[in-house]
Amino acid sequence: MNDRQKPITDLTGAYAPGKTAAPTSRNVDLEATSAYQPGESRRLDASPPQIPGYELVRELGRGAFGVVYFGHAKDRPETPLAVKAIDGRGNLDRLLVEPALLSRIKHPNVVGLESHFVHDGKLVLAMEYVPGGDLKAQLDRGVPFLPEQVHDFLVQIGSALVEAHAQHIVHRDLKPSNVLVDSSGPRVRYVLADFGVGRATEGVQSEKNVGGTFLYMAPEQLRGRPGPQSDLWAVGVIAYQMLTGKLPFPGPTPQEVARQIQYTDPPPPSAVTGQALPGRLEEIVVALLRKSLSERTATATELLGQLGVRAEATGTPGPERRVKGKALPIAEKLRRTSRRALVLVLVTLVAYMVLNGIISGVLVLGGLWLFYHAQAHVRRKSRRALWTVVAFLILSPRVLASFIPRVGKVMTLGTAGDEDSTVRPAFDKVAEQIGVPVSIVFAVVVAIVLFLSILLPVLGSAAYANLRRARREQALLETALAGQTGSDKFLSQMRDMLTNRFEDVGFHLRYAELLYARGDHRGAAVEARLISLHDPYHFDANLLLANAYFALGLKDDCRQVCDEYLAVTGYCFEFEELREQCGEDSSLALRAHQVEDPVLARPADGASGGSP
Amino acid sequence: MKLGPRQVRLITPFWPSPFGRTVRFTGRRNTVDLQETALVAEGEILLFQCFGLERLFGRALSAWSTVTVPYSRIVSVRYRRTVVLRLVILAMLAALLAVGLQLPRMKASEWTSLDVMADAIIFVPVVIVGCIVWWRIRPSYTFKFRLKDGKRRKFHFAIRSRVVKREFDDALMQYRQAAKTYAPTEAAR
Repeated sequence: MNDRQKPITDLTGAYAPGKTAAPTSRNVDLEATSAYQPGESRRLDASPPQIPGYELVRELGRGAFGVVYFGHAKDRPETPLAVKAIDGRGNLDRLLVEPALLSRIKHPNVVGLESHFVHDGKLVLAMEYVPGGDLKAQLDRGVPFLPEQVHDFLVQIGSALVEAHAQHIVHRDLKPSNVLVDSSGPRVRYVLADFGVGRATEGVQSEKNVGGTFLYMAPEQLRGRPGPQSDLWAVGVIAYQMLTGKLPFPGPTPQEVARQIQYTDPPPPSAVTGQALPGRLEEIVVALLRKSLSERTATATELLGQLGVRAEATGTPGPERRVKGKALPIAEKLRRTSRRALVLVLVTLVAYMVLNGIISGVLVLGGLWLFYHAQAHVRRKSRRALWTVVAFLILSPRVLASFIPRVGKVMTLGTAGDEDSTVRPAFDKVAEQIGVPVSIVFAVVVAIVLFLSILLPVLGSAAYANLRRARREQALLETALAGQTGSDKFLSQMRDMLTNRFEDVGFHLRYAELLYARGDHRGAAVEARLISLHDPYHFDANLLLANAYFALGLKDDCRQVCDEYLAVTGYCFEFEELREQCGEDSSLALRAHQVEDPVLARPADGASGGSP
Repeated sequence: MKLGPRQVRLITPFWPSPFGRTVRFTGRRNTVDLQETALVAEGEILLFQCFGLERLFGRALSAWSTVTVPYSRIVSVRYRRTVVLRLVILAMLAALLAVGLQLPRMKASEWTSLDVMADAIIFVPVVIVGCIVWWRIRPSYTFKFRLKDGKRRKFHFAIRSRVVKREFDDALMQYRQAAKTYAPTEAAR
């Protein structure tokens, strides 16, 4: 195997659930887990096993280690049960985790556990029987779900996760085949099943936790550090699949799936189906699929909040409130937000000019803009000082106007402050009508103008901040769409945008990850190093940097990055693993990069280069 | 454990930071995330200070960014109730108000002929300042940490709910303990 390909291959291979060897062939079942996987119901060929206290009628499904039967307790034949018999294979302690976790959760959307015991070397779980099969069977029909159904799914499974996470339990293997669908009632009930891969989350994970199903694994779960947010990611993947009928991160091999999960964004559902979704459903699904833990929906409670449902203390969903709103694609919504913010900026600008006079307005706003630009974006000190002086020179006439009447007269030409203004007769008229001296009317008007002169720039700057934010989101969305078509044009756009967003670590990291995903490892390394100027301990940036060095064959540098991070967080097995892959040997040929350090080679003022 | 904008507020201190040691967050969308490897504060960080203008134009003068602090790099986490400070400032304001009300009245103009107007001119600003002081100087955490180059930085944040604060304290203690346990070097401890 080529060293340059090793990180990704090893990465995915290492996390192949339930497997000890790295899956490399196309035949690997990406949906397989080490846990039981329900299959289609079928008649029992052989006679059912005898389990004391239970009568088994037929087989419901079969997995790698166990079989699920339809049956009932002998003393309660009216209550149907799903009886799961799992082969212990000498590892009963591990198997007892599932009943231990299930017994801690009492929720209508989590499969209920009646009892569990060990019989004949097998673990037997007597569980609630949910008629209707699983979600996978419905998805396999290929008919996309209605947005209302997806909303229902998110509410119910979100509510189940609120309860599970409150008990410090992470499911870790959320996928359509582990979601049972009960269509017997007036409202479809989604039931979360199979906690076989689940675990309690108390304490810090100092060791890698493998397990789960590739297609539904979050990036951090792929690296072996699943948490409650990994479950939310899986919910997002399922919801995406329900809306579009397609997986957000498809791929023929685990390597390709892992690459997509770690470094690419899926196009929004509306771009896949060509149909807009009502309310904020699309944003909610997109937020569930954010790679960064900081940006992803933080908790199941937050998810319910976004869906307009309040999680009650018991974890069951409260009275449901449909999220109303226009059905618009997310791209269109962002475009409108951006346009609104731009209009508000222009309106405040014009209003300021009208109030203060065009000359004054241009000088003040121009001076302030230059000052801001110098402080925020010019990195070279001498140039920044020059721009600052120019800004003050532009601002100075307006400042002088406050002290020198003649200058003030010019500045306020045509406004309320201008004594020769045509509006002065209006003051006289108003004063006469309300019976107060004209000086008071004039003072009140000047006070209002003064107040607005402060308020309008504040409003304008807030609108400008909103505009920047909307454009950022637009750019990120465009990368997802462009990634679908394979276009490279958006990369240069992102690079241009980075010039004014150098400090935006999230945006910068996205760019670096895109470079890495497209095979530009050198560019990715440069960008990751630049991110560390702002946030030296950023986990994802450091990991990306180490991976990029590894891919470039710069093992010494890779080891150095790993060592530096491990020196402060000794339990970061992600870096430990990569360091081990680097080995102890180092080739002199690989040290050539030290002569030409990519960061040093980069111009000081430029925001982003990227390309080798 | 992630504290969203409704649970946590990253605070810009009332006083300036002449040596640039304080990471000054602004806006209301900031979050604090206790990840397994580090604490991550994300939000709008002021790019520069400008004679108090950042109070008005904070969002425009800031950039969306993150500050990642590995637990072993935390120097101290202090929770300050600031009750005494607030009471002292309010007492000073009350004293100022009392003195102000005792001052001889200036010659009343046409529109301030009533004594009550004169009192209001002193009373209202003092009360407003008092409210601002009470509201702005709230109980908060001061979070000090070390950068890679050894320089110290700090930022401030307030947690709104007592329950969340307790959870945050527990989780942070657990992570810091883990950092001490697993840190390979004495320096990291």
